[in-house]
Amino acid sequence: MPVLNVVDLHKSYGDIRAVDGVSFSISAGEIFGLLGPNGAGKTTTINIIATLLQPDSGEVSINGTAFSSASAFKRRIGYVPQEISLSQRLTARENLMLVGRLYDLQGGELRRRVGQTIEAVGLVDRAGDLVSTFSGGMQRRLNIAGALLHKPDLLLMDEPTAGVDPQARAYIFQIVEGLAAEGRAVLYTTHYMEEAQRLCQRTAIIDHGKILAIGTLGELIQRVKARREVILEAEDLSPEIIERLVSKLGEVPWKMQPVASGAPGARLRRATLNIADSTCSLLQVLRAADQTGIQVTTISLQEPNLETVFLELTGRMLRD
Amino acid sequence: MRSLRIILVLAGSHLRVLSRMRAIVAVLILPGIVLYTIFTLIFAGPAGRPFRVAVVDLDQTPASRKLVEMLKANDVIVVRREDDNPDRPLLTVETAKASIRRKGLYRVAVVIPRGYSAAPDMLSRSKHKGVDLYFDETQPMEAKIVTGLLQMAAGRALFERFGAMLNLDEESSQSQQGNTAHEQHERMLIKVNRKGVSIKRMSIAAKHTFLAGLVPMFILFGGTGAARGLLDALRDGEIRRLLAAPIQPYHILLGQMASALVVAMIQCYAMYTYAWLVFGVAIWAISGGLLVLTLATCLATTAFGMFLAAFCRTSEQLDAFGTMIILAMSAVGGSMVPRFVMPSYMQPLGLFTINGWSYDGFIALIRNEGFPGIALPCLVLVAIAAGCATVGSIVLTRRLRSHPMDE
Repeated sequence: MPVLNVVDLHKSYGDIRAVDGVSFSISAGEIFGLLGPNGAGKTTTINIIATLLQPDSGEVSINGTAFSSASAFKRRIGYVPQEISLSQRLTARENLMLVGRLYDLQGGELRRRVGQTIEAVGLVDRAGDLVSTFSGGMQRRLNIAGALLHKPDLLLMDEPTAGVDPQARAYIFQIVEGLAAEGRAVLYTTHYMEEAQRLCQRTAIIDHGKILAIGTLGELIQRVKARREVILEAEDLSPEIIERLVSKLGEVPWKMQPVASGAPGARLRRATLNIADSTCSLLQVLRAADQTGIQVTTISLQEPNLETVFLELTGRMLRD
Repeated sequence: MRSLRIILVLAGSHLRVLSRMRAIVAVLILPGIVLYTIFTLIFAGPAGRPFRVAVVDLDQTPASRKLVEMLKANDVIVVRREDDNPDRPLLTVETAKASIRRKGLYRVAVVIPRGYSAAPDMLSRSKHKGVDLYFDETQPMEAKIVTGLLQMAAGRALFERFGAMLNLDEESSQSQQGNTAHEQHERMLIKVNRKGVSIKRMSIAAKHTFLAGLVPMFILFGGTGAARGLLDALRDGEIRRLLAAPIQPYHILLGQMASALVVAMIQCYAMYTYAWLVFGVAIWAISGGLLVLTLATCLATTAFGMFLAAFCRTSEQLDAFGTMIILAMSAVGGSMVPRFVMPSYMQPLGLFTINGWSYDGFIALIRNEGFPGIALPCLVLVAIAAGCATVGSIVLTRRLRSHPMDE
C-alpha cells in the first residue's frame, strides 16, 4: 500500500486553476519528485497535502488515514516549507523543542529526539546558537530537522535547497537520501532538474497545475522518445556545412548557435545534433565531420535528461 | 488541557523571543514613562481649568438666579442636575454632597437657601443668612476659590442693582477675592457658610490622571505590536510550520494573545512602579483592585490589537491604521487630556473607548471606591475583550485557513 495517495486534486483561485486533477502515490522509502517551473502548482499541491490549504475537490490519504481527520493526518506528515520557518531569535535547540512540544513530545523523550535530530542534520556544535547567526545552508538543515522530530511517515519538502550553496545542497541531499533509506516516503518539489534527477526514484512533471508525465527517468525519456544530443563546436560552421554533415549521418534534427570566445575575431560556433540511440555513435559523428572538412574544437555527448523531457512535453525550457 | 498547554508553549516561545529584543522592550516601557513624567510635571502645578460648581437653588427667585448667572460669568461651569446630565433630576443638597463624596464630577456645591432674596447680601446685616458651600475636604483650596468667585458674583449683582449709588466698581469687587477666609464674613458681600464634606480617599492629582490615561494608551500600542508579530510571521512563512502541526489556528492566536497579555501587564506595572517611586502614587493601597482593573484593561487592549490585525493585510497597514485609531481613542478617552476638562458633549464619547473605561476605573480606585467602583469598568473592558477577540479570531482563523501564504 502506498504511504501517500493523492487522487484527482483540484484547487482554483478565481479563474486560475492552480491544481488541476493531480493524482499520484508514493511508497515507503521512495523519493518522489514534483518537477516544474515556478507557478506550476507544486507548492499548492504540497500545501494541500500538508493541510494548509483546502482543496476544491480530490482525496488525500496517508497510510489509509483520510484527509478529514486532520490531527491524526498531520502527525504522519513532516513538512519542510520553502521559507525558513524558524524563529531567528531562538537557538536551534529551542526551535526544535518548540516544534516537538506542538507534537506532544515532552520531557526526556523530547530532549532525546531533539538531540538525535540535531545530530542527524549535523548541527551539534551550533545547537545552542541563535538561528540568526546561522548560514543559509545551516538554516535549511534546521528547517528540515523541524520536520523530522515526530518521525513522520511522509516528508513534504518544498524546494528545500532554495538559495543554498553546492556544498550545503550536497549535505541536504545526503539527509534526504538517509531519510528514504530509513523507510520514509519523501515528496520533493523542485524546479532544478538536476536535483530531481539525482534524488528521485520517480518524478512527476507538472505545469499549469497538471501533471504531464510520471515515471522514472528512463520511463519519462522513453515516453517522450527523447534523443541523445551531440554538441559539436568548431570554427566557421555554417548551416550549409551542418546540412552536409547531417546528410552523412541520416536525417537528424539540429540547431546552431554562436559560442562566445575570448580571442578577437574568433568565429567559434556550436551545433547541437539530436541523435536517436540507434542512429550513430560519437565516432561516426567525428568521421563525418572530418569528411565534411569541419575542424572540430570540442565534441561532447549529452544523454537525455529531465530538461529534455520537459522541453518535449511543454515546448519550453524548465527555467523559461 | 492540551489546548491550554499548546497555548502556553506558544506564548512562552513569543516571550522568550521578545526578551531577546532589548530595544523592543525599551520601546514598550520607556516612552510611557517619559510621557507620564512630562505630563505630570506640566500639570502638577495649580493649572487653570474651569471650575465645576454644583448649584442647588432652593430660593428660585430672580435674586438667586442672578447670583448663579454672575457665577457663570466668572467662567464657572455650573452643574444643576445629577451627573451633569440634562435627563437626570435637579440636584438636591443630599445628592450634591453624595456626588462630591463619590464621583468627583465637582468638588464644591453651592446651596442657595430659601429666603435668600429677602437679604441677598451683607448690606442686609443680620437678616442676611448667606449661602451654604459644601466642599471636598481634601481640596480646601477649591472651596476658597469658589468663595472668592461668589464674592465677585455677589459684587456684580450688587453693582447692577445699586451701581453708582454704592460706588462699587469691578476692581473693588475683585479685590475682595483675597479675603476669603472662613472667619471674615463681616468683610464680605455675601456670607458663605463653608461646610466640609468628609472624604476618605486620596486626592486626584495630575500624577493620577495621567497614569490612568497613559497606561491604556501605551498598552494599546503594545497590543498592536503583538498583533504585528502575527502578521509578520504570516508574511515570513514562520506560521506555516505551526499550521502544519497538529494544532488549531486558534491555538496560534491565543498563544500570541497570551504573550501579549503578559507583556502588557509588565508594561502597566513598570509604569505603576515608576509612578510610585518617583511621584508617590500609592498603588499598594489599591493593589487588589488595580490588579483586576489592569488585567481587564490588558485583556481589552490585547484583543483589540488582534481585532485590528484581522482587518489589515500587512503589518505596515496595521501600523498606520492602528496608530491613527489608538491616537483618536486616546484623545477622546482621556489619555492625553483628562476627560473632566473636556466639554460636556465630549465626555460621553470617552465611554466608547478602552482608554475611557480604564481611566474611570483607575480614578474610582484612587477615590477609594474599591471593587464596586471598578465593577462596571471591568465588566465593560472584559466585554470589549471578548468581542474583539471573538471577531478577530474568526477573521484571522479564516485567513489562516484559506490563504496561509501568497504563492
